[in-house]
Amino acid sequence: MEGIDLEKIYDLIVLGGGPTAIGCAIYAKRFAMEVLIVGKTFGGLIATTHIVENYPAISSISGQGLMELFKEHMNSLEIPYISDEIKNIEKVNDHFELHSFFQNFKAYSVCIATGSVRRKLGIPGEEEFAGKGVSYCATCDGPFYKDKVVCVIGGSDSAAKEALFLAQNTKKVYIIYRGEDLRAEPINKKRVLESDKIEIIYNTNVVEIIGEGKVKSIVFDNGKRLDIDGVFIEIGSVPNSDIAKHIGVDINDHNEIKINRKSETNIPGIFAAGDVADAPFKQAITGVAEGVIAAYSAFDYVKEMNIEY
Amino acid sequence: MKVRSVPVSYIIEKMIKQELAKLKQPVTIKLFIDESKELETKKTLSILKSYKENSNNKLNLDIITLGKGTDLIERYQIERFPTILLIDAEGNECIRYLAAPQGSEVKPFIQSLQVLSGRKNYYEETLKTNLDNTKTSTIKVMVTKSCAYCPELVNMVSQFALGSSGKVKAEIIDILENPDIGDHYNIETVPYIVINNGEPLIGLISPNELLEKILKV
Repeated sequence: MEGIDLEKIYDLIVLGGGPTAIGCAIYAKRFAMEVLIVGKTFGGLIATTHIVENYPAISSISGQGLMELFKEHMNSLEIPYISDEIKNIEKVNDHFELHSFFQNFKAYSVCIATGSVRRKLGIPGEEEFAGKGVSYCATCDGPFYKDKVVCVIGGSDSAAKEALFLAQNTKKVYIIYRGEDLRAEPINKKRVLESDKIEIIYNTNVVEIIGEGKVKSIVFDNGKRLDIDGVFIEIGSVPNSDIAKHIGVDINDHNEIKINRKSETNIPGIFAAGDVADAPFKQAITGVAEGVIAAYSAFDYVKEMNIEY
Repeated sequence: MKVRSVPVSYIIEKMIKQELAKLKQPVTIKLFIDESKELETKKTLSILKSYKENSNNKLNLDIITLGKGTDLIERYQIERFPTILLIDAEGNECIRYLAAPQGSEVKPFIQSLQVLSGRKNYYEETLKTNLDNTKTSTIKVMVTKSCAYCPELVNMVSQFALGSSGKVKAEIIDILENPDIGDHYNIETVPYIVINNGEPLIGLISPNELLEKILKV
């Protein structure tokens, strides 16, 4: 709780723990704003990425490593971070009150940068075998599948990178994709195609996961079955926008928060950025940029309120 | 094209120095070792000695060797070596590590030291109110070094242990270092939490979800 004052009305409270939230807080701090970050997961989804090669100025780094750099920058500016989940936001006079189960906070402005969570397939066996062969994080659970046969379901760049990571230690990796061609970045697609451990099964959906205590096989929509030890599901993500709905922030059909080019929502003083927002391109670098814009807009908003720094 | 990797170890080393400088009161770590396990002992000793060296003499490292500290080994029911114990000022065990506090696990380890050293615990007030009439719970947190979500959960459970007035004890277990524990629970995913040997909790959970689970147990 060092550096946290529960009586204070913060200029900006940033919700989230990924690069977007930290980028936003760094800029806010440099604008001399009183800023606090409240996040459920430090690092966000990118921390689960085994290798990041598209963050400008850093040729290659693990997702966790990148977030260590963010953390170091955050700490150097003495930006306080709390591990908690805000359940409710309400407007009280000129500020917002944010409530978690453990504490209440006050802020003149809020940036929602709560990111997204892995999308689930919703097929029989997925829930039953979660943690018993079904996984959503290759870097977390990959080490359990040394010399075993696994599959990655999905055809995105993330799916390709998960497969490449898993191929380092497993016996074989199948990529099961409903489309005709991987949507990965060309460099990762090339690596996948060149790997002698990865086999791609196109135009196929997995309709069931079967096992006894742990995963044994998967069933395809053509009725065929494939024996497998682990199933890694990488089919995109779902925005974490529940907190925004609570206070009446406009959400689109994909559950993303609607923002304008200033990262403003329909509610003055509430900003949003990153994967939770409706920007079309979901990358760490674009999330950081939106977070920075949110900080700038929050600065303008608070300045207009004539609050002394 | 050869891709250059960015080393982050220097960032972690810098963070260790900065954060250990914030220790207020002296803190004691008890390390139980078995000299016959040379490799593991050497690694853990090296890590903890580097913490001690950077702590401005605020960190005491008590090393208890198997065969030479039988009373303490019995008192704390030490069954594995190395085991690291974070204890409070009265000598009560708060957090047990069957894992090396290195890499991303440095942050939760040091935050625990800071709380033991006098820093305020964010969860303490609510925990005291809610856990007042409950029995003691032991929370096992199974982790691996590469698990991105584990440090956050380790931190949360550790802070619960430190802010619960002895109602919660935490055990942090690296299941790749202790594969028999992983096999016992049939673990194929981390983070994996077991409270008092009850039904496991898989993945990252929020602090209020963790408190609800403790209260149900």
